[in-house]
Amino acid sequence: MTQKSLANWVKLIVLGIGIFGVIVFGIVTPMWASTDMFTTSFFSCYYWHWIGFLGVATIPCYIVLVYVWKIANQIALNNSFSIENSYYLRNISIIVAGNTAFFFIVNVIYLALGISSLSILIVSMIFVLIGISITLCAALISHLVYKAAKLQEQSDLTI
Amino acid sequence: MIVINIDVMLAKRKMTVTQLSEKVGITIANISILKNGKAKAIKIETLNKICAALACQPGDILEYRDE
Repeated sequence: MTQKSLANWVKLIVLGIGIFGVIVFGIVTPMWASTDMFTTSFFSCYYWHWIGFLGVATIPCYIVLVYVWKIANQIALNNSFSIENSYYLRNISIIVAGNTAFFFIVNVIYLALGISSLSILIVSMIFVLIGISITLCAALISHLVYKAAKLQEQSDLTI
Repeated sequence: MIVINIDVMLAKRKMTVTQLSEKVGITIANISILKNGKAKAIKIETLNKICAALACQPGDILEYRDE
């Protein structure tokens, strides 16, 4: 697979995830949450609390998708190992860390306020673990890309 | 810092940058990098070829200057 085709695939997937996210979190989830299953249950008073929380938690995901798009642009320009890409990956790591912390803290607060239940908190821990894994991977890859960019610069300027 | 003075030898040998790049087998862009002091390193092989092309010693084109 060439760099250009890889970059195009990444951009296509980013677009697809973006559209999928809008459909799932913008349309399907609110519709599903307003069905009888929820309107006559424990969650009936807290519809907007949860919809608002999920909406706010989704925004950093879209910021990450923008950074992934920028990385794909750099790859298309044959600039895979660049300082810019390492900064984008570092920013992705920071954003995901912040969003994971936000997700965890709000879940704990909702449990304390009686808006949530222990079972929801336990299930949300899966997403917290995924967020921590992505944070660590992005931070490590950022460091490796930075080192590789320095080596590339050295190599390019070796005549 | 080490400065590579190719211009002086090119003038002495009445050679253009293009002719030097063809003889040495490196691009004009890389010659410019050498001339502008932006090169981080030079391979011995490249230095060999430049000296052979310009019929000079390494000391004729390499100069140390205090920054």
